Amino acid sequence: MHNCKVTRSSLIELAMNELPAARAGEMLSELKDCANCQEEYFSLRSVLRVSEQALESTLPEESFWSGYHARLSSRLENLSAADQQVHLRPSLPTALTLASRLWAALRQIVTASVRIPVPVAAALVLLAAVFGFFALRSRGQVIVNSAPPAPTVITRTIEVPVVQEKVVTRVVYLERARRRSPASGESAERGDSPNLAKRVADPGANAEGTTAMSLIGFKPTEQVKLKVVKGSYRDEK
Amino acid sequence: VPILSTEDELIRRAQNGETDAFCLLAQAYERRIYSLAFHYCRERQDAEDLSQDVWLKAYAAISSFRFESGFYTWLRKIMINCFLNHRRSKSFNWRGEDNVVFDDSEANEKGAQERPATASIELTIDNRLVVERVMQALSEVSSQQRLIFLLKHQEGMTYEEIAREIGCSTGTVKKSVSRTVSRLRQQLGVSDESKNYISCAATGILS
Repeated sequence: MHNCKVTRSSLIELAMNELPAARAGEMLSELKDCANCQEEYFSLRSVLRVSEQALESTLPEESFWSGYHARLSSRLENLSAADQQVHLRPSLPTALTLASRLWAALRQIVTASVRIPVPVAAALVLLAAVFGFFALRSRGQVIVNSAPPAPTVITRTIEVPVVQEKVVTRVVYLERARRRSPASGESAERGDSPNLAKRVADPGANAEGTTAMSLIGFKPTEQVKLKVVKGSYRDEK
Repeated sequence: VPILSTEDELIRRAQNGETDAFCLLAQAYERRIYSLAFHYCRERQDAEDLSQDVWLKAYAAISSFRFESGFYTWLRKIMINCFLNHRRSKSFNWRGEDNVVFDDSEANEKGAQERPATASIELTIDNRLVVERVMQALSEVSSQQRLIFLLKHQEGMTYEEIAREIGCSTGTVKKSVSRTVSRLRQQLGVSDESKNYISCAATGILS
């Protein structure tokens, strides 16, 4: 079914040979049935043909091309000469040439770039980051190892025999009242021993504050009371 | 086949640094390049500079030609890039889109002298009028639309090829061509009602 609007929208493509051969043939057959569309198509073809002829007619004369070509050849020769001068530079002194070559190589290395797909680049960056992390970690360990050795504390358990203290309580009964009395008569009355009386009478003999005691002449009482104390003297009541 | 082998041979010689071989290559295509350059920038001096820049860049890059495509296809890519860069460059004194700079008087005078004496003055005037109107129509579209139209109309490239080379969508190419054709029709006075003028003009040019 022919539709003028649809057909006219494709007329430019038809006139410019943009449509496939099958579609073009189909459209041309359609145009035969529609005088208006056919006329439109012919006018379009005319416009294009005239514009093509007009554009061609603006080209310069034949005489122009010889001069144009001469100018182009001249510019090409100049460009070629400039290239040759660049190639002639190796005739400079060897040292300079070597230095310049090294410099050029260095520049080429520094400025060189490689096209890498983004996933590969991302993987490389990730890999470098992981390596860097582990390198820093291992470096930290090396630093610790290279530091001066810290004093090591070794804990050993040694069994030491503990001497348990024994508390020995000895109870000595003295007649303190009679010893301290200055009257010898009293002492005699009481029946003290002469040595004891003598010691009390002569305090100089005990100038050091120590009491020299002797059991010579000591008479034990007839009644002996034994008091058994368990534990230390502190437990004594 | 012999022409292609000769062209390949010239390319190989040019790749080895033989300027003469490259000049022979340029001689084969220089008119085509110049024509596009002239219709693109619509001024003779600019067209010469632009077209020769294309050749200089092609000469500098000839070693990169790998024979994977035709030489002219490769050259046309350089030309399109050169045209687009030329338009973008600030040094390029681009003519305003509305100001048509078209001075073909000298060419027409010389052409008139060379034409047979039987050519009538009216025909010459008609031809010149048509040419001016075509150039006027081309000046009324943007430079990209003009380049797209030229690539389609003069170079016979497909919409897809143009879109790929210019770096735009196929729809943009279609619209550009449609817009330029519409301008041409307006300038040439072709409408649904009047079609006689274009027929007369076309007959005049083609005769």
